[in-house]
Amino acid sequence: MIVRACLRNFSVEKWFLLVASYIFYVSWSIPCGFLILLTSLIDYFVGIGLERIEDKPKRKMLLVVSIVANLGVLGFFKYTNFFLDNAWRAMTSMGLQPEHWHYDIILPAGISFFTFQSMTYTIEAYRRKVKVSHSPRDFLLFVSFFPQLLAGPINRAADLLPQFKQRLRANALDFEIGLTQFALGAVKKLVISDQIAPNVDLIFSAPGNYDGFTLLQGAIGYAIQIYCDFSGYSDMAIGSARMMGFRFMENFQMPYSSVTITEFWRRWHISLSTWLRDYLYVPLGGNRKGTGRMYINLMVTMLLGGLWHGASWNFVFWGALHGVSLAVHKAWITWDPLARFKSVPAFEAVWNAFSRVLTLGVVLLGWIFFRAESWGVAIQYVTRIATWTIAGTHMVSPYILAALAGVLAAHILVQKDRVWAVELPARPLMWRIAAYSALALMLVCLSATDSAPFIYFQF
Amino acid sequence: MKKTVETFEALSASCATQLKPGANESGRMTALSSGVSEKEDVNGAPEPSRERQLALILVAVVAVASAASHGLVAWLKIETTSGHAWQIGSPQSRTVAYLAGSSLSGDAIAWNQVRDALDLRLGGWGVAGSSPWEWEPFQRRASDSKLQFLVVSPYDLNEEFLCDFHADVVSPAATIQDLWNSKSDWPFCKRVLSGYPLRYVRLLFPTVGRSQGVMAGLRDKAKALLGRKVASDEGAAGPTLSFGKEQDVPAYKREKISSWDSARILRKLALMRNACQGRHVFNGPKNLAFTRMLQQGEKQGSVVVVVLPVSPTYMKEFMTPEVTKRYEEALALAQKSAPQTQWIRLDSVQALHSNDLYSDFVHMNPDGKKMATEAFMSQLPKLISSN
Repeated sequence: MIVRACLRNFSVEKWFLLVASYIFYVSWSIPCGFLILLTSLIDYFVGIGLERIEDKPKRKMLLVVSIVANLGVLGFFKYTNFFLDNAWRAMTSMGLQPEHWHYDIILPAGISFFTFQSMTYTIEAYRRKVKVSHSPRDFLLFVSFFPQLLAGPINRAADLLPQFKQRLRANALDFEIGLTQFALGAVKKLVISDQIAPNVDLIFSAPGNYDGFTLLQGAIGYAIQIYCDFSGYSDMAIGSARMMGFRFMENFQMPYSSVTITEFWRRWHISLSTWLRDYLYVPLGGNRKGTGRMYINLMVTMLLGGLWHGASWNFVFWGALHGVSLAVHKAWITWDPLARFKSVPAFEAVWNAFSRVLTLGVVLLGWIFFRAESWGVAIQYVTRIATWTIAGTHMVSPYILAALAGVLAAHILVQKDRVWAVELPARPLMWRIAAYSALALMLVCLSATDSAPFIYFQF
Repeated sequence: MKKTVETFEALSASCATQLKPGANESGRMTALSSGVSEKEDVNGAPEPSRERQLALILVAVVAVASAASHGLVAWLKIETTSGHAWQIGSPQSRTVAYLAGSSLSGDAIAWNQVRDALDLRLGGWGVAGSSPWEWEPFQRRASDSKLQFLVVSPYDLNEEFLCDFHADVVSPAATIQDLWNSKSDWPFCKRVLSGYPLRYVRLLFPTVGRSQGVMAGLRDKAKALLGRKVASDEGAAGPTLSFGKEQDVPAYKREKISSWDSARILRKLALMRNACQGRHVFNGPKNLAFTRMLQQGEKQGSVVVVVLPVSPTYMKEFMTPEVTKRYEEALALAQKSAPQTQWIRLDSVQALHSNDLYSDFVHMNPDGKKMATEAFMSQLPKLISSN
């Protein structure tokens, strides 16, 4: 950022950011640098073609090229072994004896994110909702910009590309907002998520060794870990971009304060849920083709959303669970059997509390499958909680309980649509010094010694 | 500037259509997407006082956090300095000897007895959590030592356990060279090399990377304040060194892990697994340094390597047959590189394989120390006669 501040020429600055982004990416793997370059160039030229060609079938063909290229690359790296393993199992169960093919395919970091982000460009260009970029540098930077490259947020071309066309120099307020958000993200990741990770890993590694209470504690710990890890990364990405004068979309908004599952998906991984809504659910027909078709579209969207996270039936189940929950919620609000009681404040309060607990319960159940190493482990985990097994080690993790207390306090005491990163810089000076000092103290005193990798880097 | 404001408004409108989490959305997005505060003019020119405020905030925050960090370290007595020199024995002693080992060696063997048996002036430098990689620079200072003891264990030689003070003791150039020569992978190199900038960060914030010590210390203080007994193994807020010190053994060092409940064992194992990233590797920079120390020691005089055992719980959890094989191969290679070195394998003494003898997974308690010292002393006559 210091170098960027010294550069006066926006064109030079963009080259600097592009080179820095690629160096950042190839420090993980050099071949993957070529991969992101290739897919980006394909989409760049598809965009040019979509602008110039008026013939509808040809335009559609170009869009298909982009989608096939992006999803093909994603599918190859992410799902090849999943399909081969499942095909082998299926054939074996039919009595055949095929050879079990399995390849050592290393998943390029961030592939699920940059392919989806790149597709927003070609899809919006096809719909003529975004101005096609004629600068390969700007487009390459849009796909590879380092704050969001590895784990999002998945920014839209219409939002981010114009920011590379016209320089937005951050003023002191932007810098402070960005720095605040970055610091909040760092606290979530280093102080909360990384501190509880060893205990969560311990419990999930052998659930058969623990009693129901400990397993429940582990599930809650993971719910906190994944939220703080992922939203922490998003905050750091958004904050660092803001410090440089770029605006990313928000990715989380206090999801565990949701009263319904539908609200949860408006607050959790917002960039992905809106991507799935705009580019999968709506094109499939959304709710425009009847109730039955709406539920099918919802299930397909959530199943694919689950599969996006990883090549495992656990993730498919996670997506299915959320799909069913969303469908049930939609049916419930359409039916609305309790409408006549909602005017009673006491009933409303009790119902909201019940709804909140139910939502958290569904989310927690989903996280168990999301985290468990296999289907069998997930079933064992859930069964031992459901039967409240007392056999096994009873463990109380002070880290998980402390994190739970902190997250509960933040979600219950704070109004859920507040954005601290924006509000804090608006406070008086001494207030800000105290708040930032508290954040700094937490970071220097309580950051985990051994930082765990970001969870969403594996997707 | 007007165009800039229009662009902000366009951005705000664009983002607002895609982000619908709650009723405050448009106001929030305007606040998010706009770089214009209420106090800034419509042309977007930054207000000077905001920049001065930011500078003041940064200075104040750094000052407060630094003062608090230094204060905590002093209050909780967290070890922050490396390389404490120690010495036992009189200047008139027959032989000057150098002892290189971690805290495991101080807890396993009563070196005062060794000093008396061999009429030694025994000395060394204690670096908490250290390994041969950190001992080697001090060996070069012990050029007058004709006899050297190197005390190792699977814990000390595991490359994945990093010494908190490595950057204070070993130069970056030497570290990079060893990482290169041992063909260490990039993630490991990053872990090791990150200690160097951290060293400078710790000048301002000595608590960085020491959260376990901070939390344990705060917990103990809170318990003491409430009049509750401090749990015996939580008395230490960080690594401890007891070389050459005649002192009462603190309560937590008298524990037996055989009396720990399963929850405590599992929690501690999780922390240990996390510290070594779940890996046990013995063919990295520590091994290179160990080999060099043996060769240097032979040039100066005699070298005795003492291989310590670790607790059965540690063995069961971490020392799988494959890991044990790698460990033995590393020791064999070191032995081959320095054939004059004498080896005392206390890890093959069956009587020491009991959780009753360990205060934690790797450190012996006084009972273990007594037995290990006896076993060591029983092999000393061979050592004395060969000298």
